[in-house]
Amino acid sequence: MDNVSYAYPDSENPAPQVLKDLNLSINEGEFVALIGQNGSGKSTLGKLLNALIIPDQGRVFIGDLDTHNSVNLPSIRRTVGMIFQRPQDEIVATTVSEDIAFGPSNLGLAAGEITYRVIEAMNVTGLTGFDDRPSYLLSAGETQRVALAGVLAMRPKCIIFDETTAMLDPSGREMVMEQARALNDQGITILFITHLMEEAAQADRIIVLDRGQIVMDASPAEVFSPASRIRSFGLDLPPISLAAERIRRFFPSIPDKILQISDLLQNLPGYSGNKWEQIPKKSNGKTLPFCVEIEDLSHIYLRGTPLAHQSLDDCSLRVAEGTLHGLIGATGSGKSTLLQHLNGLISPQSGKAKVLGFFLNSPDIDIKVLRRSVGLAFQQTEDQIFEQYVGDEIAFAARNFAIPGKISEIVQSAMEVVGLDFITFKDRLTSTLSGGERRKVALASVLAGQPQILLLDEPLAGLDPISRKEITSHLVNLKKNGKTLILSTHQFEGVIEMMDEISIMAKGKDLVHGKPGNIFSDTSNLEAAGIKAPLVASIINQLRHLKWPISKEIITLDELESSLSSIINGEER
Amino acid sequence: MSNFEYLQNVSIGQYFPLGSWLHKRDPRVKLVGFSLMILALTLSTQIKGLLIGAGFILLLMVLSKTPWHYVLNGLLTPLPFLLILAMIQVFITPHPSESMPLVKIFGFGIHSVGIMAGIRLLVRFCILVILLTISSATLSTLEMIHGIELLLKPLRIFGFRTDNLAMVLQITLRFIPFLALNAEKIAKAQASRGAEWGVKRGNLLKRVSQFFPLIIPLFNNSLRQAETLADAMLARGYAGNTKRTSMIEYRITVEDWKFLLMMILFSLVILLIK
Repeated sequence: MDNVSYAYPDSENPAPQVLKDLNLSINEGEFVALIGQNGSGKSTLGKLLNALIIPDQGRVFIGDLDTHNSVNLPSIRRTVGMIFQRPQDEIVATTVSEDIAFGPSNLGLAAGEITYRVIEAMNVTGLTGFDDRPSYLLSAGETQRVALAGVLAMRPKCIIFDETTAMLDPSGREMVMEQARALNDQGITILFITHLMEEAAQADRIIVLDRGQIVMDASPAEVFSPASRIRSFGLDLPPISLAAERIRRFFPSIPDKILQISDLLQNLPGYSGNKWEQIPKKSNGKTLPFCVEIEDLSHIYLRGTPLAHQSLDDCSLRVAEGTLHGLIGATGSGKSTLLQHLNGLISPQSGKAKVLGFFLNSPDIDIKVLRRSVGLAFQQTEDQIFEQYVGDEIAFAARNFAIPGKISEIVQSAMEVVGLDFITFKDRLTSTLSGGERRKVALASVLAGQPQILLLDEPLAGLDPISRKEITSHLVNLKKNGKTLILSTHQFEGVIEMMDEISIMAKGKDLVHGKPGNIFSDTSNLEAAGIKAPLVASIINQLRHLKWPISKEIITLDELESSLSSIINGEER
Repeated sequence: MSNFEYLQNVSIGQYFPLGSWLHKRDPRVKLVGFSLMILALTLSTQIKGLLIGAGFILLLMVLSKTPWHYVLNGLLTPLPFLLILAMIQVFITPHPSESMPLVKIFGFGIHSVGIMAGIRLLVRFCILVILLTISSATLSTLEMIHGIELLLKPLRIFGFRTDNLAMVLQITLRFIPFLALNAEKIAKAQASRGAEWGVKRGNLLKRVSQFFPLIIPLFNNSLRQAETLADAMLARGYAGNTKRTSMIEYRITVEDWKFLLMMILFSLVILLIK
């Protein structure tokens, strides 16, 4: 195949139409990003290319093979590999090497060739030594690598990444991106479906999908300017471009269309003025009482079996009432395990734990009362939502905890808090919700129990920029209403400014904790925890390096802007 | 300990890559060997045979390096059901008409033959559960599937698709730990919103009835996952009607024959001892 091209003239699905009259061709060796709001039809497009679904109208051609013709299917699937949203759902076998061998076995290759390809795929994805590991005991990042290795072993000419990075931490995402790049350099065509604009910006070409139609198809620089156009499709600029826009008025040397952080940092000028560093005044009022006190907590999963592994290792945590505390760390650092201790899903194996006056170690603790006061929203909404209808799902906690008042009113007010319309959504099937809606339903279902403390495990994973903003603003409102929030995340861009305190977690330990400004200015801790400094912190570190008198305690773009304007314009603050 | 680690209690169907002598045997001899043993234990009529069988199984456990507390944990989960079965057995075993009942409960006589039958049933099932745990700990699914496929190969001349059967087995086994994990997640989601999970109270009936709200979501989740898995399998070129190959080719060695001989011997002893 010299020229791989896919086309959908008049592809159409019965109501509701997911994709409408789509025309698209992708050339061999291209690196294409596909972006769009939750529910815009991105995954459907991916499945059409892999002939998992056949268009109702129109044709899809892979090279010159028509997906309508079932004779072509084996060769099409050999050509186009696909990695799905939830990699744990695509594991076929019980051990890693077995699973990677599944694809090549289907191709009817000889045993020696399969072994060679499996070993090669494991080396490329960094899975060497994982051969006999049980496939269900891998971390999210490892499962993702197994899925990639399984596709690589088939040596496809094109790989579709369907929101492959949604559940990964920044270093995991970077690894996937690097591998996609490396594969692309070897001539493999890449179609990268993503919610993260910064990932899309790294592609050669971006296709924007809106309500089943291609609304833009151009290079990243063109797609992201003007900003108003991309925003009209419910998307946004990559964070770095947003930051560049905002500080350009202070630094005219910053060129247009910044898409990489290095481009911005290189173009910051040195400081030649004579102002001294200003420490921003922060209201440091009364110290609030702690509602969560945890000391030297340890937890070992599957203790006493050959599969045991330590998840928490002498971890400590203190959270003051009415604050928002961030738990930040790479996947597998113990964040979820810690949160599950706080509402009694896991009993402490060793260490002290006190939540809202409940001693978690105590044998006669009333766990139901504890769980009523401490609500937990899980990392993956698929795991949390278990009822068929949205209304029942949200009513569950209210019913079980016997919250006083009419159930329907409690449900309605919980839905209003997260911006879900009661009438429209109460009778919707939970299986038909989009990613953003699922997240809101999951949040409302916890709020209906009217907890004092809210535990949020990765509340922003897998959301498009608009949904992220919505959920974030709901969280801010909850805090204003006096709730204590503990939020674990590895996608902290855009949420750190609302955090009062942060704990950095690494390998089951609380590496460091304190105010966000202090934490992020010290990059050594971040590196040790395997996470990247947030954007604003990187810019400030570079500016300070260039002798700008900017306080390292600044963490938001707003603060940076006002600080810069006072330095440059000499305004008194 | 967590109340939600169901995985910890499901030991059958879990493979432990411990690399023992038992692990290294050819899957065909392991399959035949373990099957013979299971057959012998099922058919044995003597309690003596069963007790000797228990001894052999302890030996196998040592050979396989499977930790004993893990094996026992796997036994604890089905134990209540086994006890109930044994109780029923005590009552329903036919007894010779001249035998006098030892005790009478609610008008039902308990006879010594009944008690013996109950004990035999309990011992038999306990050993079988342990044997299954050990065999699945030493026989990876890949091995088992290849073993079955190779053993059934002669059936191919009758047009029987042994490879499809192997695939069905593979998927079934792969779902076992995922079902346990799923159940754990749903139970946690329900518990954290007030369902009576992991709350240490209530009688047996109450605790059993806790499982009902779990079943439908578990089915829903599993069906959705099965759908994705089907997509993923198709995407990776599985067609169901094409010839599949495998990564590993097996050859039977002297050590394998030794193992098979040992298992045949054990089975004969269990069956024939008087």
